[in-house]
Amino acid sequence: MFSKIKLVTKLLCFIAPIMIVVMGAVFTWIIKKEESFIRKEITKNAEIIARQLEIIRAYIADKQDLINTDLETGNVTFKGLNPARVGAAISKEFTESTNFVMKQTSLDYRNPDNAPDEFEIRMLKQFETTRDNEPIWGEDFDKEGNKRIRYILPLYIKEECLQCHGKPAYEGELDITGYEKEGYEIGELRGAISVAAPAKQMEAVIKTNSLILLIIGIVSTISVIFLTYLLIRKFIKVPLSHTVAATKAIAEGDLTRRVDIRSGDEFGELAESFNTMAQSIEEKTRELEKTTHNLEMANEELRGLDKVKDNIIRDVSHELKSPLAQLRLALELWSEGIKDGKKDKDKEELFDGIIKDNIKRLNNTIESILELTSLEFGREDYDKESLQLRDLVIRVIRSSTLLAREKGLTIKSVLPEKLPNVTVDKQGITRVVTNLIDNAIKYTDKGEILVSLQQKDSGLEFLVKDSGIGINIPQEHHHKLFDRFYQENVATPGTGIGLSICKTILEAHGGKIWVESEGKYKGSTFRFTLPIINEKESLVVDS
Amino acid sequence: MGKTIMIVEDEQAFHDLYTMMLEDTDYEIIRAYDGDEALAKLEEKKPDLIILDILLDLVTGDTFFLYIKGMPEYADIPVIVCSSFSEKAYKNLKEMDPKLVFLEKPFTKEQMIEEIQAKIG
Repeated sequence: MFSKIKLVTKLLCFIAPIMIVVMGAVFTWIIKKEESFIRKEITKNAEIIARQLEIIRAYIADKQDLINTDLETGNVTFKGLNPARVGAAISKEFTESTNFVMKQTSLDYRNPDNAPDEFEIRMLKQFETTRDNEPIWGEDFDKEGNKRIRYILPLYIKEECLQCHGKPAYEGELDITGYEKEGYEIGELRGAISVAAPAKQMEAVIKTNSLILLIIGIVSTISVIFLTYLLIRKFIKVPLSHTVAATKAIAEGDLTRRVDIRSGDEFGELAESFNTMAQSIEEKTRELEKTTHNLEMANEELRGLDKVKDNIIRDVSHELKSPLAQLRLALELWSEGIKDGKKDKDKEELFDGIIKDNIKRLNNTIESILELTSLEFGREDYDKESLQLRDLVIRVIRSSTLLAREKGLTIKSVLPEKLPNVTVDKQGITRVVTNLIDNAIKYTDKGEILVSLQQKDSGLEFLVKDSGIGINIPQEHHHKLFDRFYQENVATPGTGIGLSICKTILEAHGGKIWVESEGKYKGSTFRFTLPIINEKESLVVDS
Repeated sequence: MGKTIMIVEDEQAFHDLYTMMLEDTDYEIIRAYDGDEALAKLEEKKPDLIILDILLDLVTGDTFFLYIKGMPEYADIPVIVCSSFSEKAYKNLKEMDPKLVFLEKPFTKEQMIEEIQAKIG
């Protein structure tokens, strides 16, 4: 569950409680410190005034003889200024003019105003036992329930106290002030100076300060958390998000994606490594794609070749089996007739024709296959000689005229004189020209066939144009016509290797062959070129 | 009147030979040279049997076969395919009509007569 939370939230989940605890501790510590400081301040003040009173009392006690003795007469009269009265007067004045309450108290008090309260009784009893000189601090509540800080300073009997509080010379001896002497000895506890300071003010100060501190605490905690968030965001979240986005983009196929972080920290390093990796992936992927593409192409080519192979087998099997079937049936029927003793001249002629035609057909097929195979393996020896191509073409046209005339076709020729010689194998080129002209006759039923020859650049261009069945395949596939066994229409008689042989022969002469047609029944134009080679070059070629 | 056989074959020599083979029988013979012509002649008269070559000009034998098997009025006509191709090369035709007979060229007169009689007696 926690692992699914975003990084920033996670970090804040850790940082925020720590911040709150730390700020809380600091806050408490400051409050405590402040409280203790204020308390010290108050107690210090209380001590000062108590000590002051103690000193005044000691002074008054010390000067009693001087105060009460008439310097002129030497008579001693109590003037009403003993430590107890002076102390009471100062305490009263002090209490009335400040918010401090000061009084003199004793377990064995003479003035009822000095009667001790609960706290004072407890402390006085403690001093009585311990005889400790150190003042005691404490806290209690006044009658209204307000908290007070208490300070109590013990007063022990000293030499000068004895004249009023010492041992009576006789039972019921009164001192100068008119009270019975209690019979104290030096060092015994007589009473204490008690100061009570209200804690209300202190509490109010602490409360205000705490509030201010609390506000400062909350504000600074929030600020620190927010600042931390901003820092995390700027230095961790943003670069991390960029990297994550880039990773996702690359995973989704955008291999050109890079991380744009230029800081010198770990994220900068990460971005740099990431970009290097992405670059590498991109290059490798491109390579892989290229390889895959090449493989696909090769595969496609192989499939194409496979199909070509299948077609070749199919066509060759047809070209062999079909005549064989006719021969078999013809022979069977003929021999049946002979057995039955029937003699039918028409039938015999028919059988004779079928048998002759099919033997010729089989022979042609087999010869074509053998010829092409030998051509492709380079076994054909070309016997090159320099000759006028025009003469060669004219001879072929002459021999084909009869065939054309049978179909009612005319052959028109445009053959300029004085064309340069070409260096070719006479038999091979004759075969090419014959094949092209015979094809034109074979695939044309009416009209004329144009044969022309002309010089073009550094070669001669031969052309046969017919008005026949044309070519029913797109221009870009025309080259297939020159593939072995390719037949545009499978039902057309023939082996489909004539054009392939033409191509092989022409290529061996440095020439090329191609065809143009505007479509089905729009005629075809076959052209080939042969390079003109001068005598010198010819010698080099031959050698 | 005997039964009618339609022969669909592009080579004249085959037409001549098939006719001679069947001349002693009383089958009526309809000749067609390609799938297109065969379809036109089907409309004129429905034969009892079709002897079909595969390699034909324009509409080929396999296309013609699939076409007539898809038409209710001709689907029931039995067909004997006489071709230089084996049955394997045209499995789809056999799948279309399991009763189709493939007679691979070259075949004998006896084989052909047997197949015809098996189909139409």
